Amino acid sequence: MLYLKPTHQRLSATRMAPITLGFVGLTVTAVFASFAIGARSIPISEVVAALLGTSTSPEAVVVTSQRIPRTLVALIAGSGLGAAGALMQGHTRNPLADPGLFGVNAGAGFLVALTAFTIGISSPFTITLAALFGAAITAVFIFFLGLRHVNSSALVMLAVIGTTVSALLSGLTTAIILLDKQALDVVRFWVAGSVTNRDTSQIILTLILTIIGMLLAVSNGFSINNLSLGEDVAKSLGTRVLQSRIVGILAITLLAGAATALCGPIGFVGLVAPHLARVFSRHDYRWLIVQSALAGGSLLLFADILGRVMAPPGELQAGIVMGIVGAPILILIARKRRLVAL
Amino acid sequence: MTPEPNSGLQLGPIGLPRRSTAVKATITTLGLLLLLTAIALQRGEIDIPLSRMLDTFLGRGTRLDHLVLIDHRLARLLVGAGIGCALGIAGALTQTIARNPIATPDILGVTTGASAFAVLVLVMPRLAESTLGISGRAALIPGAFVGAFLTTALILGISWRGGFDGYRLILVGLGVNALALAFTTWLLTKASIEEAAVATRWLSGSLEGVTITDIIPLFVTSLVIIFVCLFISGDLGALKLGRDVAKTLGVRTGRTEFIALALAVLAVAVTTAIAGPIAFVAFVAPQAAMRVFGSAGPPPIASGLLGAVLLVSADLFAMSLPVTLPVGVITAIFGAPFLLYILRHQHRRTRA
Amino acid sequence: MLKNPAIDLRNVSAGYHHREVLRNVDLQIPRSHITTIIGPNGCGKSTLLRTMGKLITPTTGEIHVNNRAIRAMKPRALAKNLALLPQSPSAPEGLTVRDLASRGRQPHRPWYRQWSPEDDEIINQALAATRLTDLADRPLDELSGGQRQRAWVAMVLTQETPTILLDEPTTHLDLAHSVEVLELVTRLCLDRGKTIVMVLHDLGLAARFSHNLVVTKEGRIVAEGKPSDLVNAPLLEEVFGLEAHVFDDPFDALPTVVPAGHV
Repeated sequence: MLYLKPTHQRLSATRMAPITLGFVGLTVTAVFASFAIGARSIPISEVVAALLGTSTSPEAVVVTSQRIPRTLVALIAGSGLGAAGALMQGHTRNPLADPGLFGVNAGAGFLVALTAFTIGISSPFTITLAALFGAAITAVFIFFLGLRHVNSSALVMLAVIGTTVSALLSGLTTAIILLDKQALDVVRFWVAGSVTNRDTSQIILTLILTIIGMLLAVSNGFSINNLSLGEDVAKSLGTRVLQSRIVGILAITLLAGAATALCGPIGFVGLVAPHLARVFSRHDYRWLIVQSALAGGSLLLFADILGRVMAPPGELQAGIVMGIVGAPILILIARKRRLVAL
Repeated sequence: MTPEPNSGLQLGPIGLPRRSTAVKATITTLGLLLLLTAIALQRGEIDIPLSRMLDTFLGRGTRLDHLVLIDHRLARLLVGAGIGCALGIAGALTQTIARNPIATPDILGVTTGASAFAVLVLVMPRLAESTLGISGRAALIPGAFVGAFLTTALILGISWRGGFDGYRLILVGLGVNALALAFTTWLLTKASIEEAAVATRWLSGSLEGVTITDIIPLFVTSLVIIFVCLFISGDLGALKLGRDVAKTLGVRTGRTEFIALALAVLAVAVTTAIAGPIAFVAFVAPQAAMRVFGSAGPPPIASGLLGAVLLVSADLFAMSLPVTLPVGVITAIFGAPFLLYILRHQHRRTRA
Repeated sequence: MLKNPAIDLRNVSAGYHHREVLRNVDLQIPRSHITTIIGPNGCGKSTLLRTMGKLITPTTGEIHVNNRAIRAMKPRALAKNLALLPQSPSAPEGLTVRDLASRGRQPHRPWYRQWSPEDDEIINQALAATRLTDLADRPLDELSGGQRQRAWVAMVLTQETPTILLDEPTTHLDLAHSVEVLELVTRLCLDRGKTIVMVLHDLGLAARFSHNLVVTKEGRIVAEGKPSDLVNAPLLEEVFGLEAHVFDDPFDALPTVVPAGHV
């Protein structure tokens, strides 16, 4: 198993603040790029005018009706996934951990398929709700199955149980979509992971959940620092281990579940964003979580932007681009970083 | 479960360790296989009594009997058992090398690579026709093979760095896996709904339409894999103690890890080409075998046996359902609760 | 210069990932004696041992084991000459003592003979020597620290090598268990003529259980000799930065270290 080195330093705020600002800057750049770049290139002046509401040109309309929503979606989902990934890697101390291990993707997909099969999908909001419930129920189910193992420091068993339950749900999902063409049609597009065509109700719901999840995540950061020194040391430092784990899992489910519910399953953001952030924060999770969130948001935004220009005249869904972009990043990680092997 | 004293049997220059838990488990598993064979040969719409079965096997039966019994039932049974066995062994090998129970051959990206190319063939038949000269279902197998070996070459090429490192291989495999998955997902969105349905069905793994000729590559592959497994079984056992200890015991760890992974890749390439990706067997069989056979890590050959049992029973069950579902779906739906049951009732932490 | 050293290092430099730890080390390990390497944390003791065991490839110099260059030796051949027990080894859960001991036979086994009555006999003898015969079929994780370490020594024993390297075999063991393991190791040397090279962090135990000491600091060997000659206050001050009193204990006349109290 691969383990991450424990935290030894508490990095001072004077060092971390500018780095975090750097990430904020990156995100802001990504946001503006997202407003400006696309099938139709829109100059920054027009973008600003559109934001301020002073322009009604066709370009401005594109910005307000399409670009702003999809930017918002990518930002919410990407930051949620980034933070969830950081939490996941922190709790399992495994640099390969991905929020998907808690069955978030498989559970969401299953309930989407089931809903499409039984009552039919009437609106995008239905998909989001179904995905959300699926993710939440699955995560809770896995957690209770593996409750006995939550206290073991590597949570390996939880990952095994998570993988098993995911496979079960995947199988059931496939069974459903093979029996029902409608369901197949819904699922095959949902599975590609997309940030477009999301309506306001979906966005607002997931925004609320992501904010709650983010608050939980940041508060969990301090405990993770202590937990990485070993559970006994953490206890002597005053950390309530079981409580921290539960908060962590709750946060991961909220964040990753909301992101998946909004966009469909998007891989790699949760895996890669923490590694990007880790270049600067080493292992101080109080900062790492925020920086992973920012990195995740930027990553997904860039993926979406790339998808707009990569394959004219059409677009590539963000989930697919993430797969293409994430792969070389992961390979770079494999070649450069020395992971502490156990 | 109390471990029994070690003893062994020696036949000439060959020596095998023997422990009674493993012996009992082996006998039970072989018995199960025999039972499944009997069921498989019996089941179906056409009833063939035992006497006619014997005639057919001896070459004296009618043409229809031959078609049903040998070309269909026996073929399906043998291919199912062969694939289950190959996947079980492949899973045991990757889990041992990675010392991680979630490391399955699929993460090496070979299954996804093979699938991506097979889906390409399904969705763009004209492309396949112009490059490979064949179309339709006939192009699936070569397509999957091409995909599997291209992916493997890519993974090996990227992760070679003066030698192979197990962890780096897995990380690169994950990356290539994602690439292939993205490609497949994109293909599915681009295809027509009918093509997508056919492709999705293939992607779940099915023994439908396997022929007796499929057995040949499977048989050869399985023999090679089992033989090489026996060759490295001692080294694999030493590897479980960690790479440092294995090295001091004289094991060439780099070479052993590479061979093990190469075998896993071979198994996955062949099985995916024949029946599509049947993912879960490679994960479940070694974990179950480890506990049922009482060994301290996933046992390769035992995982193969259990994998064969799992796949054949899943297929028999799938055939008995009112609506035919691909066997890959059944293995997931039944394999998962089975594994969860074992995990809860054996009270043993996994450490591959 | 020894005429027939068990291990001979000439001008060996070695390290990890372009960070050099050992610098131009010359060392000869005498046969059938216990040699212990001591030194402050991070001085390269483990690196030295691991380089001897070919787990690390030296960047310069040559190492000979039984007069054969290890660079040219095949892994199996080396494993029949030299056994190395790394620090804090781990074993998969459920592995029994006998299973572990039998792994030591690996270098001697052709792939088709994973078991033989001769192997069984050697394993039984090793279990008897480590007094683990009654515990042979128990899983390792049910044993105490000292028993577990003895099981690993049993594995090393079945390897039947003339030389044994042990990297901190007493870490995590209390005094009683440490002494248990070290007495076993001493028996192996005195009764069976094995050459033992150990890394120990406890000076007192090192002085007590060694024929020779090798003192390393910052990747170089700064002193070599018998414990009674070597272990004295100036050495402790210079190498370890420790102010201490050293005297011969009243029972065995072996050097005993007591830190100079300042509180």
